[in-house]
Amino acid sequence: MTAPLVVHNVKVHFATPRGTVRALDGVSFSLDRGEIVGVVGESGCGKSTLAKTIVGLQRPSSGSVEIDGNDLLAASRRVVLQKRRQIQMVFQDPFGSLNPRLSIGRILSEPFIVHGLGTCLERQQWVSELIEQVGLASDSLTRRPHEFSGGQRQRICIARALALKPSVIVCDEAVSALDVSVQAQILNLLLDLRKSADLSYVFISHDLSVIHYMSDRVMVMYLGEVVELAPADALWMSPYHPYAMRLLSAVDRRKTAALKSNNDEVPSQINPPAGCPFHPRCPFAKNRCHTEKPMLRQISDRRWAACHYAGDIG
Amino acid sequence: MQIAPLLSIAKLRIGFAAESGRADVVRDLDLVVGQGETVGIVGESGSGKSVTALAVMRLLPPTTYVEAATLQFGPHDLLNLSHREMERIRGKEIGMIFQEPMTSLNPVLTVGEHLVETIRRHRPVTRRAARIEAVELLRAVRIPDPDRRIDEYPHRLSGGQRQRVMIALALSCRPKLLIADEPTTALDVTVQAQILELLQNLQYEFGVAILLISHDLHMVASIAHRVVVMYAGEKVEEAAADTLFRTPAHPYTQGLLGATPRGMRGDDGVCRRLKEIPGRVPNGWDLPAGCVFSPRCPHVVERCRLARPPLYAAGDAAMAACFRLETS
Repeated sequence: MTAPLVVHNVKVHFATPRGTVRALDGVSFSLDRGEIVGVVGESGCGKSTLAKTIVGLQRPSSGSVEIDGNDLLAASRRVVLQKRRQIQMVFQDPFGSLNPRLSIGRILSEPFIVHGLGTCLERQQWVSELIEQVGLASDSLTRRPHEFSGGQRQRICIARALALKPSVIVCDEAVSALDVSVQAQILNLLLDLRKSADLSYVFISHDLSVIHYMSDRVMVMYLGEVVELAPADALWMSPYHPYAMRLLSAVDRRKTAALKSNNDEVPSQINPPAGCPFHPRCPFAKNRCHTEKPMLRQISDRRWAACHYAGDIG
Repeated sequence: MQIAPLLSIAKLRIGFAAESGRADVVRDLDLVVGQGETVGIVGESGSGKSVTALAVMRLLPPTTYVEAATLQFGPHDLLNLSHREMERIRGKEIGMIFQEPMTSLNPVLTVGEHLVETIRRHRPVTRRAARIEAVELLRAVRIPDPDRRIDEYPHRLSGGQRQRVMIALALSCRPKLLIADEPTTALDVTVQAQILELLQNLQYEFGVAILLISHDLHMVASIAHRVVVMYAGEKVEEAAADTLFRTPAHPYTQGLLGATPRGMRGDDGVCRRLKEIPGRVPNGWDLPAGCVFSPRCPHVVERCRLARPPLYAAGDAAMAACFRLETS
């Protein structure tokens, strides 16, 4: 059985007057059926560029994104349209991602219209099933986005993402704008839908406790690259990459002392440091780290890290 | 621990004009901040935490109703000060930092100009002396290479550094109280931890009291001595930070802790289901009768819908507004 999503060596480079920004620089991972892969990293690490590249809103400079075994960049337009249905996205801002002039019913039937599916009556039927699936009353369909709270709007966005029965949903900071009590409702809904609608998620968030809670595996990104990929619990128990240690210690303030580093600025993406991109901030950096760039390598079963000394430090 | 009160608020009511008369977004709030103490206010959007801070600073628009039995800061009655007197307190006696470090600095002024202007606004010092002080302040907030960075414009600084500059500005006149409204929300987690640590260290160095406002219960509890939980404009619970976590007394606080993903995944990797708080925060102009939390409360009884519960003692210097505590 093929994985629903395989990202292979994706690079996204932007040319700017000051030089090339390497927003993504060789990211590879695969998502298993029913799996949730969490993506964490500081602002500017490429999380959102990755999300956009996966759903096809951003064309990669090189590399491939395979959905159900089809490379979307090489495929014909017809196959692309067909396969795009498999992958949908939920955005951070539930206020900005719904057209304020359309009724909820119209917003939810739009995916069917775009893909030319069903008759008008069938679509009405599907739409009322969708709204029920995300826990909203069916009289919501005649109302417009401004009549709903942030949490309800995010439910509508999820319903829209579910419309074409995708196998993968990319959530880019999907709960970050919500209050804690509402966030819990949405997280529970996403976990329920994983079972009932047979979904896998790429779950992007800057909130580490949300990532830990939701993810089966976690991918830690730094300056457009994956520096660690590991099962969530193993990563939380013992991170291998010093950057992952740094991130996790920021949450658990008891552990911070050992990881102090005076230089804690994220380096420029136009001129990333030579050698390991993290070495200017790394308390364990040795001579080798200044010159030789570590590749992402397998450290143990299901665990990968891009550090020369992974497993020996910390 | 008995500390002399620096800021004392009693029966604070803040209202905005709304379509249907007046919406009271803060009701009967009592709050005391002692000298050198860190008090956290936690609440979701619409809980009234930020307007409370703005009311203390008298920064709310003049159309707002602000009423209180007491709004005392040191020797000053903040409600009855003239604009001119208030200007002397704002920035000098009370400093404030905001969530958005990008927009709180003037993009056409250098870091140094910001600091020098603030220092000279409140104290009769020469430009040169103020600049020397400004460099020291930047050093105090751990900005590397302050002699050089002082002449940078805000856009050249990262988000974390801008927030450091904001803190330096707020501390430039050695205020007795620092109000920090979501000071780390816009920052990355690694930077967040540094800013919190900085606030803690500065409190120690400068002896300033901090009123820390945030939606993040864990963040607040990590540095606050005392935490006030607000819901829909009312104080529902107040307790020492660790008491609040160990034995939350109000159903809303219990709900918040149960809804937070942190720690909900056991060491065995099993996810405990998050506890949802059904429904949502009521609007200021459409409040339920009785207890404000009653429509969402799992323990609600008839009485909660009729009368508003006062604050009951809930053990160890804690209090909560819930009828269930009446008997205990």
